[in-house]
Amino acid sequence: MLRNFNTEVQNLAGTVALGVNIALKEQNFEGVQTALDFVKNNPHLRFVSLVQIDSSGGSFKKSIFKTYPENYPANVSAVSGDSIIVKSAAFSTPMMSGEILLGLSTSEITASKAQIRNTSIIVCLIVFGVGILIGFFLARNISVPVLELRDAAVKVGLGDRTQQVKSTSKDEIGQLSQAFNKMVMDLATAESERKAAQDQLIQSEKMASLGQMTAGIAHEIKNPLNFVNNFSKLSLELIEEIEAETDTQEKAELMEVLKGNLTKINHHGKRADSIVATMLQHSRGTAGTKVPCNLNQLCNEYTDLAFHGMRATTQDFNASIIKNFEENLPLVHLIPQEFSRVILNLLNNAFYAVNERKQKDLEAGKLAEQPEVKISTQKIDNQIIIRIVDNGSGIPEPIKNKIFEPFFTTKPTGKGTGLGLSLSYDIITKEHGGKMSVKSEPGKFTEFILELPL
Amino acid sequence: MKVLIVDDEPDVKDLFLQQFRKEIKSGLISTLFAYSGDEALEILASREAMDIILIMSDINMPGMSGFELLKKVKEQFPDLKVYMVSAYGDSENQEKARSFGADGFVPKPVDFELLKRNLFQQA
Repeated sequence: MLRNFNTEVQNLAGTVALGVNIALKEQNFEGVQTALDFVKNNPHLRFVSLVQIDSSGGSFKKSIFKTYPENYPANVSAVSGDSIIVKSAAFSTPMMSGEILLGLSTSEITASKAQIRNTSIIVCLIVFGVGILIGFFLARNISVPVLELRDAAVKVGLGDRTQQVKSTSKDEIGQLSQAFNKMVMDLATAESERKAAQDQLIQSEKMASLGQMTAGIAHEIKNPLNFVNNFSKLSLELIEEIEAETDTQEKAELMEVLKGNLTKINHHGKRADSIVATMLQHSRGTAGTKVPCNLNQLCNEYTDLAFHGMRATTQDFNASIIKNFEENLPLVHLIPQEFSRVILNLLNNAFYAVNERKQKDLEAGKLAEQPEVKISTQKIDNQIIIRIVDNGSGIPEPIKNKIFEPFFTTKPTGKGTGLGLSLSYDIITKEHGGKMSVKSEPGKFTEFILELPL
Repeated sequence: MKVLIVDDEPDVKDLFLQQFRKEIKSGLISTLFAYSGDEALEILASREAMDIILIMSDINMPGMSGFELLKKVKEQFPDLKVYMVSAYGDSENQEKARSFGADGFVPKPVDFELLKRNLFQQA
């Protein structure tokens, strides 16, 4: 800026010198005045001097010929200072040689420099302030809602379906918040609907297995009742006979028979009671608690229930059951109503499979193998192993890893819910901390293995 | 009269023996017992079977069911009378037994008075 000003002053001095040069050549003194007037109205002007150089006698001698303003203490050797720029421009005519000395004030420059600095500072402050305001605005309107959305999304991801974010603004962020809220609500609704549908299906699976059991239960109750009713009636007759009997030997024998009968009544009464208890346990929907159970007795009862149930509901169903229960097993901590569902389900599947294979063999004109279902219990180290093996149709390799998936079934529509094995799997692995696995060879056998920790 | 009783439950033997104690003593009836359909067929094929006139068979038994036994007996010994005994006393089951050629149906729990009246009236 200062350099520009230096050049400007030099140019002005040059212009004045040129004007003076022309005027002096023409000896037009008014022209000299006009040339000097050229800078008189310049607001920065401090002085302008016409300096005469006398070069006669081989030496230069400068002297002020004329100065404007006339009272300015002009000096031929004036130079630029802090507040003034002084420039000279020479002229030379036959009449007179000399130079124009022009001094212009730099105070304006300094002032404008300060003004520029102040302005710069103010502009900077404004820009900075506006920047901060924009930052606050962005933080309030974008970052904070986005962070809230992020936190809410993380919570939703973790399973909390009650998250809602505040949305007051009408911009994209507000729309995003509203969309997020709606999505979470829809998700919660869909989940509760799915849960309700699933619960209903699980309940219907339970009811279906209860239905399969009912026929078995009728058999298992009426048979003990047959003994209870008839042996009690016989016992009454026996008592009359004993009362009438005079021979002590004969009397003692009759007493033995009576004792035997009462033992049978008691045994079959308990049997019926146990069946009813089993049925009640099975129909109870809520998960129970683990209690020490006689696993062999439980497996035995449910095998009979499943068998008689199948017998009663399937035309011409027939199978040999081979029970191989290891004696003196320790009591196993089980949720009886849940665990029994597994045994019932596996046996129903086994019976279904042997029956299906028999039908296929008969249709194919093959000599059908005798349907056979084996159930065994065994203690190995700290585990109880239960195996249920059937010589039925088997499970083809491609579907073997699908059978524990919910709703997977190979049975015709209406015959199975596809939940039996998936529920069984959950009951064994999640509720009892055990393992459930399957081995199978199509057309040969299927073996389900349950491992329960002691 | 010789009767073959088929049931997988062992206490059935004791029950029939006691219920028919007097009739057995007086020689009115004699009993044979089998615990499965196969065993019943074996007995029927043996000499013991010569004078059997009635079979009373349970329906729900492991292995061969009572209905299968009924069919086989009616094929091999059409003159032999067969009564079905079952906990499933519903009309559907009774109708099924009749359609397979059963001569009687005894629901469980067994009413022995009714059974005796029925048996000895026929005899």
